[in-house]
Formats: sequence, structure tokens, C-alpha cells
Amino acid sequence: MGRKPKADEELVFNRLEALRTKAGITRQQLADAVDVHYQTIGYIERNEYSPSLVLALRIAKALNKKVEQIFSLEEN
Amino acid sequence: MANNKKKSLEQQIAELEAQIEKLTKQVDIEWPSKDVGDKLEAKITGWFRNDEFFAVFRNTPARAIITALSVAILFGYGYYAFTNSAQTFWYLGLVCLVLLVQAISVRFVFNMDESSTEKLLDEYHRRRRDKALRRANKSFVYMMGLFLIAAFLYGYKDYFVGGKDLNFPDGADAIYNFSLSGWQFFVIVIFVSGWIALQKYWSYGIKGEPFLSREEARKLRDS
Repeated sequence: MGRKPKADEELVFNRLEALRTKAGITRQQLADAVDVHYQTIGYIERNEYSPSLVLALRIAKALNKKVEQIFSLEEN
Repeated sequence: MANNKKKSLEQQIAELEAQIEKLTKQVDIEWPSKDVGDKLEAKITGWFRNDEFFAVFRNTPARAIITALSVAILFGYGYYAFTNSAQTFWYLGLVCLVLLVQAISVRFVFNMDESSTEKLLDEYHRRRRDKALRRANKSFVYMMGLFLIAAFLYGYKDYFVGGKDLNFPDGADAIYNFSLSGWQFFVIVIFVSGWIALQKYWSYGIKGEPFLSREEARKLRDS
């Protein structure tokens, strides 16, 4: 029983905040573009949540970048 | 001739029946009372879910307090109500209240269906909610297992504690002797229902939303 320890959960790192700011769009605008709540964008930016592949692809499309330019398994 | 007339009448009836069936399929009858009820419920839920007034229930410290309070009420006040008949309805009211506050603090995430058009239930919330439901289910099964073991040990305590031989008799010969009054039974029903209903909220965890004023929330959205 019990939950999986947070340390065991594999995290996906990202440069979302930097790229979003560079693109000049707000969390709300990005959230609208990828159809999520603006807080979810915040959770992803703070590495508190690893998005699904679909959401990662949608974010990449909205920012006009490749997925690997935004998300990575190692912290850059 | 008469036979033909009868046939045509039967045909007419069959055609009419077919038409009625077709029309009933086409027209989705909406019962006014149900419609009004649904709209009212959606309006009240929407108000609880979105109004900034309830933001105070949604942050992490508030969720920690609400969770502690729900445990205290369910178990602590439950015991008090079990021993004081006058407290039964207070207990029922408090359990309902704590369930409502829990629902508000998670923005009714467990009441939303997949067809919800609101963006609140996006993949993050859905994943967290589903995780909580899985955990709640696991806890429930685990607790039921513990309960059955406890019931078994209690039923056969004379064999275990009374120093008698560990000699299980044939059939269900465990000893259960409870004398519950009506209100005590009612308290147990409230406790079990509340315990099952609260499992998912406890499993959801205490992490809440950032504590933001309307202005701060706007700034965060636009940052």
C-alpha cells in the first residue's frame, strides 16, 4: 500500500519558462493554445509535473520548437 | 371485405405505432423539473468551484487543516456521538459539512465528468484525480482486510486470549455480542459512509493551489 516515493518518480526537465518568455506569450495564452489550465503550465515550468507526450507535442507546436528543444531527461 | 377493412385498420395502427416510435426517437423529451434541477446544481457547483471567495479553502495550509479536521470529526466526534445520543444529528451535519468543504477545496474535481468543457479538468487534474481514486481504492481494500482480520480475532478471542485450545469449531461459531441502540447503529452508518466518502479526498493529498489574491492570480496568468 501507499504512494510511490517522489524520489522514485522520473522527472522531465524543461526550458519552458525561458522559451515562453522569449516568445513573448503569457501562461494563460499558452494554456489556451494547448487546452489546459494556466496553473498546469506553472506546474510544468516548476518541474512539478511531467506532461504527457500529447501535451509536450502540443506545447512544442505552440512554441514552434522541437520537443527535445524544450524537454529533456537531464537538467541543462 | 370486412377482412380487408380489418387488415387496413391493423396496418394503420402498425403505421401509427411506427410513427410514434420514430417521433419518440427524434424528440429528446426533457423533463422541466430535471432540467431546472441540473441547471441549479451546475450553477451552485460552479459558484463553489470558481468564486474567489472560496480560494481560502484551496491552498496547501488550508487543505492540511481541512484534512486534519475531517479526521478529527470522523473519528473523534464520531466516538463522542457514539457515547452521547444527543450528538447524532450534529455528527451527521458535521460529516456532511466536512465533505462539502473537502469538495470545495479540490474544486469538485471528483464530481466532474470527462465531457466537462471547463479547462480545469485538464490532464494534470485528471491524472491526480485518477491517482487519488486508485489510492483510495487500495486503502479501502487494505482497511477492509484489516477489519476482517480484527473481526476474526475478536470472534475467536476466547481461543486466543482465554487460554483455550486453538480448536476451530465447524461452521461459523465465532462469538459476536454487540448491543447497539438505534442511534449508535445510525452513528456507525454515518461513520462508515463518511469514511468511504472521505477516502478519495485524503488520497488526493494536501497539496493545494497557490494562495493568491485575485490580483496576484491575474498577474500569474499574464506573467
